Amino acid sequence: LEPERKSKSLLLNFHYAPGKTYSLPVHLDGHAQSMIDLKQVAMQGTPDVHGQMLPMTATSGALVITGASGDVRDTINLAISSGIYNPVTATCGYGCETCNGCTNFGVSPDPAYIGFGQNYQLNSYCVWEDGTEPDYTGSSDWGSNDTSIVTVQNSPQWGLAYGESPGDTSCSASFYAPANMGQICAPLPLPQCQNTSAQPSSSTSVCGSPSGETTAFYQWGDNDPRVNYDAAAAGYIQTLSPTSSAYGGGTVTESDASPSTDSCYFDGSAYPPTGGVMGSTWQVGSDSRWGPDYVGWVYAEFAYYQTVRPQRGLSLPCSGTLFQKLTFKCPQGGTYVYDTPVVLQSTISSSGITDTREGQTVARQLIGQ
Amino acid sequence: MNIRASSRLLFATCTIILTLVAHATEASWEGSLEYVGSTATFTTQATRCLPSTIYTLSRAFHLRTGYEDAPVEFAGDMIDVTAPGRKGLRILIPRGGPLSLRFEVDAVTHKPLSFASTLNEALTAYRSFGYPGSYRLTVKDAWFYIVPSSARSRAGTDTQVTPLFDAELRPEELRHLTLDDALEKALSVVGARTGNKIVLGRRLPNQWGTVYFSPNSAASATARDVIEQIMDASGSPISWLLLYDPTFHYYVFTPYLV
Repeated sequence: LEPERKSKSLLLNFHYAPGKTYSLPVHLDGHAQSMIDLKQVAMQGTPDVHGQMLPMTATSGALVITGASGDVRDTINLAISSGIYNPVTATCGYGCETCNGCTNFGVSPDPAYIGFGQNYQLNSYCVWEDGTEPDYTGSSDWGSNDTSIVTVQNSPQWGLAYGESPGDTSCSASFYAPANMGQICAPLPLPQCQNTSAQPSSSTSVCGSPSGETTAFYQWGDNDPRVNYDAAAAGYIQTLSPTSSAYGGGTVTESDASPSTDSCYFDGSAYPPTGGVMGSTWQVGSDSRWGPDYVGWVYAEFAYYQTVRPQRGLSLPCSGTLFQKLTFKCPQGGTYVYDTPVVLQSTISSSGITDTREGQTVARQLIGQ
Repeated sequence: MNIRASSRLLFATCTIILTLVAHATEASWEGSLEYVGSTATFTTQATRCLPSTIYTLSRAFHLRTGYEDAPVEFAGDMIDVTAPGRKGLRILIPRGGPLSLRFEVDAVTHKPLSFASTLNEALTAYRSFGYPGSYRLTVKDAWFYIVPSSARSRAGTDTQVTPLFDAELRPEELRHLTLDDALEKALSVVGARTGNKIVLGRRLPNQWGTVYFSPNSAASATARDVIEQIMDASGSPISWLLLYDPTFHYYVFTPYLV
C-alpha cells in the first residue's frame, strides 16, 4: 500500500469466507509503504476492530480497502501493488484489482414537483461499480438555477427545496471526487483476472519442504562466549528432516506464538516477565543443521530469582515457558512454516536449572551468585 | 501424643491460608486498556506502575520507547517485601501502586491521537499519585524517551538526577563490534562511567551476533543515542526498559519486541 503525501488511516477488510470479514486498521504516514503479512496476522491472533481474529484456516478471499471509518464515501488515494504467492505450492500469480467508485451521480426524484410555499426534500445518490447506491445528500453542494422559483438548502438540512414562486427550473447537487466522476474505476465491464492460474515462477525454485526437525542438546552456555558464558542456558542443535544438502544457506526464523508464561516473576521484580521469543534467525548448514538455540534465563535473572524468591516467601521451583513459531526459508526464497509451535521451558529450583526444548530436557546443579 | 498431633494440624492450616493471601496480592505486570468511543482508559496494578504503563502502551501501539528508572535511595521510597521471620538479605522494591489514566484515541483504530500527549498524561498521573521520582518525556526521531529528572536522596531531599544514558560514548569504544557486543559494551561503559552496575536482562536475537555496528557519527554520542542506533540497525521493532533494583543496587536493561 502506498498513499499520497498526507498520512492516512485505512481499514483493510479481508473477506476470507462467506459472511466472514476481518477488518484490520492500518495507519500510513505520508509517502509511507506498508506490507501486510496475513500469515503473521493470523498467527499472532491480532484482534480486528470488532475483536475478531483471522483464523489460520483462512487461505483465500478478497481484500477491500476503505478509509478508516469504513464508509465508502471516505475518499482514499492509494497505489496498490498486489500479487499472489502460494507458499504451499510455491507458485505465483497476479492479483486482480478493482477500484470501486462512483460511476453515475444523480438527484431524485427527477423531475420533482414542489408546491408553492412548501418544502420538499431532494436527495442525491451515486451508483457504484459494485451496484450499491450510497446516499450523498448530506455531502453534496446544492444549488438552484433560479432562486426566485426554488431555493435549496445546504445547511442545516441539505437538499431541502422550497417553492418560492410558480415556474420551472433545475436544481443541482455536486460533490467533489478527487479522481473523477463516473470513470473513477476501470471502464466497465470490470477487468477479468488474468494469469491467476498458478504457475511455477522461475524466481521461486524451492529446496524442498522439511517435514520437521529433531532436537539434540549441544552444550551449556558457559562454554559459549556468544551467550556471555551463560551457565543457566542450554544450547540445542536442530536437524531438519528429511536431511537435504539443498537446505544449506537457508534460514530458520523464530516468531512468538502463544502467550508466554513466567511463574518466577513477582510484583516489583526488576525483571519484567518474559515477553516471548525475540525473533532470532539462524543459518542452516548443508548438513541440514541449525543452531545453537539457547533456552533458559540470562544468568543474572536466574541468580536473582533463585536468591530472592525464597527470601520473599515465594516458592521454588518456578518456570518460564515460551512458544516458538519457526519458519524455514530456502536459499531461493520458498518458505515452510512449522505446523506446531516449539515449546521452550526453563525451570529454576533451589539447587539448579532445568531447560527443555521440544521435550529434550537437560538439568544441572547451579547456585546463582 | 494427642496434643502434638493437634499442633501439627493447626500449623498446616495456617500455612495454607498464608499461601493463598500471597497469591491473591500479586499484581500483573501488564496493565489493561479499555475503549469507549474516542476515549481510552489505561489501568495498571503493578507496583512498578510507570514502567508497566510504558511497556503496555509500547506493545499496544507499537511505540519505540526507552524508559530509565530514577535511582531509589531514600528508605521511604522503598518497600521491604522480605517474608516475615526471614533473616539476612532484605528484599526491596521501589514504592509504587495502582495507576490509571485516560487519553483520546481514534474511535475506529483506537490509536492515541497523540503519542507524546498520552505519555505525558502517564507522567502527570504518576506524579499525581505521589510515587517516587519525577520524569520527563523527550522525543527523538521515532523514539519516545522517558527519563528521570529528580529523585529523593538518601537523606530524603529532592535532588536533580542526571539520567544514566546521558553518559557519552566515543565511537572508538564501539568499533569492530557486532550489535550484541556493542550493546553490552555500551552498558558496561555507562556502568563504569557512572559508578553503577548494569546487567542485560534478556537474551538478544541470534543474528545480532552476525551484524557489525557502525556508529552514525565520528563524534561522541549519548548512550541513549548509541542504543537507538543499535536497535535501529537490528531491523527489529524493539523498545527497552532500564529498571533499578534496590535489593542488589544494580540496573537491569531489558529489551522487548513491540
